[in-house]
Amino acid sequence: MSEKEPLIRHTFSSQERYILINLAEQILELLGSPPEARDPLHDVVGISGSELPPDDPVLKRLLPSAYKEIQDAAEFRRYTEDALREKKRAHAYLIREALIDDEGLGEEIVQGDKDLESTSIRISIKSEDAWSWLGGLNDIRLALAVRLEIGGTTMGDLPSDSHRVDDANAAGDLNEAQKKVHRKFELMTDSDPMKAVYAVYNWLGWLQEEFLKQMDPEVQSESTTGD
Amino acid sequence: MVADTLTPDLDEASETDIRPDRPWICVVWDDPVNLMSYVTHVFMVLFGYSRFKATELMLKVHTEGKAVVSSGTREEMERDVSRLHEYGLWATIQRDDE
Repeated sequence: MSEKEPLIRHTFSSQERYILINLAEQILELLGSPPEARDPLHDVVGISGSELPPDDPVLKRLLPSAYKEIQDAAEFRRYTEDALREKKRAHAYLIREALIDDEGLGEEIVQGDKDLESTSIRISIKSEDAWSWLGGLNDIRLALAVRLEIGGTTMGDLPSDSHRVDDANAAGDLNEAQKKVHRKFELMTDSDPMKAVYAVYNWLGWLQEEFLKQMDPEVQSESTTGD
Repeated sequence: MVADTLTPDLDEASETDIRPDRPWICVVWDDPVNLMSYVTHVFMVLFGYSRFKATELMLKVHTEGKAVVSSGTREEMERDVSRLHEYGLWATIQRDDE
């Protein structure tokens, strides 16, 4: 994917850098390593083997079923899930590599000891990498949302046709639901680890919009995030 | 009344309309995580939709819980769904008449 020469610059504090590397690595671990010891014939015909949706609720959201019909969903998953995992791995890996910066592409700003935990970094994202960053950040947000139980426990389950469609006040209720989530975490004590996770989740949303704004000056902020 | 004989019968014309051969649709479902601005941009970049059309679809997903974002052959819809999944949107494929 590419838009008209989007180019993003952003400075990550040492703490932000550390957190994001860690989260990208968690996504990589969750997605698993690329299948190596597989029947080469499967690669030739593009079959991945797995037919059932993943048990892990985060994976279930990252690799959702494409059909409501179980048989169609299984068949599609068998042919495509590996490729989807690989794309998501590539997005997370790109973020991790840029922030670790072994190749010295970013501008490191050293404070004290020159180690990752005390060094912020200014990153430049090339236009062709912009959507990998956005997609990778989105995967991390989705993963955190599942852990935070934003949207309840049904995220990733097959939607039904009655899903909110019959509700005349759907939009109002949704915004109300978002506010409720926000209040729930605001009321938590600072020592509650979930409050910190929620702060990271919000920060990633802000970061995503910040990137979109740099790619496209017409983007306007949403009121529900980034505050 | 010569003009009458030259005027096409509108009812007859509409009956001869052939239903476009686009029997499969790709549906995007609402979720409380994906940002509205992000979803709009995914529609713009993946499908080449105008900002107006992409925003309209995003709002439909947001307010109605789902929206049909593309239609075509089954293969085309499977490709669209794969790309939407790659960028974290929640999408499914179904027959148009469901």
